[in-house]
Amino acid sequence: MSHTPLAPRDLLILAVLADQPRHGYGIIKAVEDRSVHGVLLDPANLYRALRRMRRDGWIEEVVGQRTDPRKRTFGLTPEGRTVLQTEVRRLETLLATVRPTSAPGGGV
Amino acid sequence: MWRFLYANLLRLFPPDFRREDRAEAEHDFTRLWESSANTRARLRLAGASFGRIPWALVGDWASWVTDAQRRRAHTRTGFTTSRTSMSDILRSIRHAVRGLRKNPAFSGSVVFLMALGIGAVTTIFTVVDHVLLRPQPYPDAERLVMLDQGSHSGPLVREMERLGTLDRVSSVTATYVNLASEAQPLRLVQGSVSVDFLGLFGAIPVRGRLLDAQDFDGVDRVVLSQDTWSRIWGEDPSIVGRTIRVDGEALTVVGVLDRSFAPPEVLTGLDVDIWRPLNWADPGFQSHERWSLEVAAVLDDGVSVADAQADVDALMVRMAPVHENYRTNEGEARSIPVVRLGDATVRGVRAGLGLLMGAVTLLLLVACANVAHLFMARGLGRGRELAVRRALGAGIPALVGHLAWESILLGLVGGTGGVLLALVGLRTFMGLNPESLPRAGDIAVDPRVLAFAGLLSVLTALVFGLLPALRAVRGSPDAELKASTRGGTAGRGDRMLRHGLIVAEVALSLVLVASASLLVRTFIEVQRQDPGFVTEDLWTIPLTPRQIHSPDEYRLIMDEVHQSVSAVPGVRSASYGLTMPLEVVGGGRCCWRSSFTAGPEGVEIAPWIHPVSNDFFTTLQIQMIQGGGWSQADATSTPIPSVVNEAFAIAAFGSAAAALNQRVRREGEQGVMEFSVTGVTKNTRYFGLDAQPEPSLFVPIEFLPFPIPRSHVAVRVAAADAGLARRLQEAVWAVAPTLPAPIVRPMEEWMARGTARRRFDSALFGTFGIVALLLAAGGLYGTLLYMAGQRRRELAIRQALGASRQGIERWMLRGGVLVAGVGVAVGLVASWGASRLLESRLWGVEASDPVALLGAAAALLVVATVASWLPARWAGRTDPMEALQSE
Repeated sequence: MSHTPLAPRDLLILAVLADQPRHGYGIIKAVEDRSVHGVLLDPANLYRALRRMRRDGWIEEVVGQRTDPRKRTFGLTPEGRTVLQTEVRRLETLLATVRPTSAPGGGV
Repeated sequence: MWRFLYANLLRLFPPDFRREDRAEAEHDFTRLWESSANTRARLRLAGASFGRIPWALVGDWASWVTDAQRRRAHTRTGFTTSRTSMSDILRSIRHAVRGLRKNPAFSGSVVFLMALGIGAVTTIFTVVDHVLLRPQPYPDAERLVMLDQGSHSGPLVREMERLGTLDRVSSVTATYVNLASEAQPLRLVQGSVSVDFLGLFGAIPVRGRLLDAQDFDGVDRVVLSQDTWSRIWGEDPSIVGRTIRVDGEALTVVGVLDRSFAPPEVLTGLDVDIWRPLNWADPGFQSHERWSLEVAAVLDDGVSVADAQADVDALMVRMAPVHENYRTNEGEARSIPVVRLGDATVRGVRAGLGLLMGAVTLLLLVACANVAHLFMARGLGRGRELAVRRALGAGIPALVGHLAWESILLGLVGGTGGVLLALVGLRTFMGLNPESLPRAGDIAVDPRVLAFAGLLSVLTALVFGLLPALRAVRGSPDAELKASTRGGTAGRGDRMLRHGLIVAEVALSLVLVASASLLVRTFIEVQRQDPGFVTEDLWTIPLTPRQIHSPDEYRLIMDEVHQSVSAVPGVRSASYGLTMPLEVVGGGRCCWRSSFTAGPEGVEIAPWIHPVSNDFFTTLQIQMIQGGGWSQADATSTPIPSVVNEAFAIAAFGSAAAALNQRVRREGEQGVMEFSVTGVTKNTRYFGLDAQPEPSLFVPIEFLPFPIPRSHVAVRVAAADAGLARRLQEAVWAVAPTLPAPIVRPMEEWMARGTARRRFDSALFGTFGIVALLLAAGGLYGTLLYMAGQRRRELAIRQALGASRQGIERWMLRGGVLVAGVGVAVGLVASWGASRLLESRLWGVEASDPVALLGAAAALLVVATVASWLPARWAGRTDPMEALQSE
């Protein structure tokens, strides 16, 4: 796939959307909780990224789930899920390549 | 503030982002901000959010433009040339963005400096634009004139209404009135207007209607301002038709005016709450003696100001024989200038705003000099890169284009930062509103201001960024490539240019620092003045007793208030008078002045007359130099006991001691009045700490010959506590339930109000001065450090040839201080000239005050020495071997 490798932020956004559809603030909070060093997405760039992903058809607006009429909720499209899986698989392969094969307890 | 900034930053994105994402992004930022536990979390959020925005903005706009191009291309057939050139430009922009991101220290510094300069200029420009440059928001604004020279009498106004050159002659007078129909007595400002006034200034009713001719028969109708309607009646929709009680009269509300209605303050003087028909039948408006109406009119079609002036002059010649008030002391007809209303509105603030605009322009120039340094340094450093590109075939136009795009991008990002700074600056500035600027209500950053800031950013970026950078492009690539292998020493022309910039920068900074020190010295000088009474623990309550028909009635109610207030726990003594010291600063229309003859020789003197209760001197703790005040029993005796101040005593009798027991006489409508001087006080600063004491005569309040609807109570308290103001208010209402007491204020606050403008002047210029000083120091430091780096090889050779470390240090230091010294010399001459412009704002300090000017020069020299010493020390520590080998 030509989009890979994904930018780390894009990967994080796709990953938290894979759990469940969320609105913007929810994404920021979920990314912050999930990442080890507490990655802080800034709202302006988050919405730019979401716009790009919507254009590329990775995510879509989920209707009927709005608790607050002003907040849009976004979910992964099948294509977005494919992109995420491809990227995760790519990273796993990469890790498997670099990880020493027979070193008990001596992982990276 | 951060949220406000962020919200505005988001508005700068392309339309599709603004339409779909902006509101949510703003909302999310607010939630994140509020959920941040501590300052650290907030700083982190601010860093993450603000740091990434400039590049996101450039990127988004670039792709927005590309999309727009593509959309347009789709709708056409075939290729267009503009499309290819547009994509060229976009490629250049992307290229420039990449180059700038690679060098964040350089880009960051330029953006910071540009933002600082543009921000300062944009803030003041916004104010200047709104106050001075825009047409007034009235129909027929171009033809509006004002009949100047203070207020006019009713009969004179009725004559003016008949003049052929003037149309819709309108008059207004504003007074305090008391509203009693609501829960608490409230003080309002009532504007009494002639029939055309509201329409002349474009009033639109949001409820009901404006005043019409029939309303002038009974004069019992009233129109509310929208703010008053919402403040007092909570925008109650059933307000029209309701009756309200103003000064005991029942008035029917017929309409509410739209918030946009704002007649010029030069006419009304106060913010008017309610509008009433002028009662032409009132004896006050039929008298030639009471001059209280301000008059505006529209020039008739095809009539010039000069025509109207001739008409008014002829009228005054007709009026001169009618009453002495229409004649000058020489017996000629008084002249009433006809002036354009637009000019009259801003004449008091034009000079002040001009001065501020000048100051921020200096600041911008200092910041830009630093930008030029940075671009030159970068240009030299990139000489080899550019030469290689040229050698590889890049044409000069392409290189210039590339450099230009870099400058423009930095200019735009810096300008964006500047506009954001201006948003914050403008809020602060308007919060202080030091000059009580007219037309200040609607000041905001709008497209006009944005266009100005954008143009200014691009222009300054091109002048101060591209021009210095271009130095790197000229000359042959051959020479550059050869020179660089020798470890380039800067050329002589280049060094001259750098030195020239430093001289200019130091000189401009000195002008700002010297102005600041003059204004700060003025402020300190004013604060040091002894007001002549004890200001600590003194609280005052200005009152407006109305519906009073005789002096006895006035005293009766005020004596009750006096007693009630005296009984408040914590109050040690109380007093009242027509006015109190420092209540009205800078003269004004408040006070009473009259002619007297003093002593047996009959010296003519025109003192201010202050009717006060007999405990005035003890309550304010005004020091008596001779004699003392009067007792309550003596207050009504003849001759009337009185106290004069030292200025009066010296002017009339030669000394304080000579004044005691002298007689002072006044002849007026009430016959001859004789006063005997029972005491002489130290001078008090009655009309402001910076107003020279003038002869004053303190007389018993019992002497007041007519009722005046104002009074001012002062109380000396043991110690102020939180509930004091409320207790004093309630004490007033206990005896006078319809008397509003909106203000209960310690004397320190009155003093601070009087010196607010000077405080603002010194704070603003002080800030400008310090910023300019730091910028100049930074420029000098950076340049010397850079030059030391450029000449590393030369320094190393000198050291190898036996120059000592101290010698090298001294040599470098001398170079820096010398250049700064030339700057200081130029700056001193410039400051000496510039300080004349400040003259009207100085007090107690000469414009050419040597302490301020030389002090500022010394400060700059000290800072310049430190800024030169640091790079000099670095140069001295160069290891010659290492420096020579590194090439």
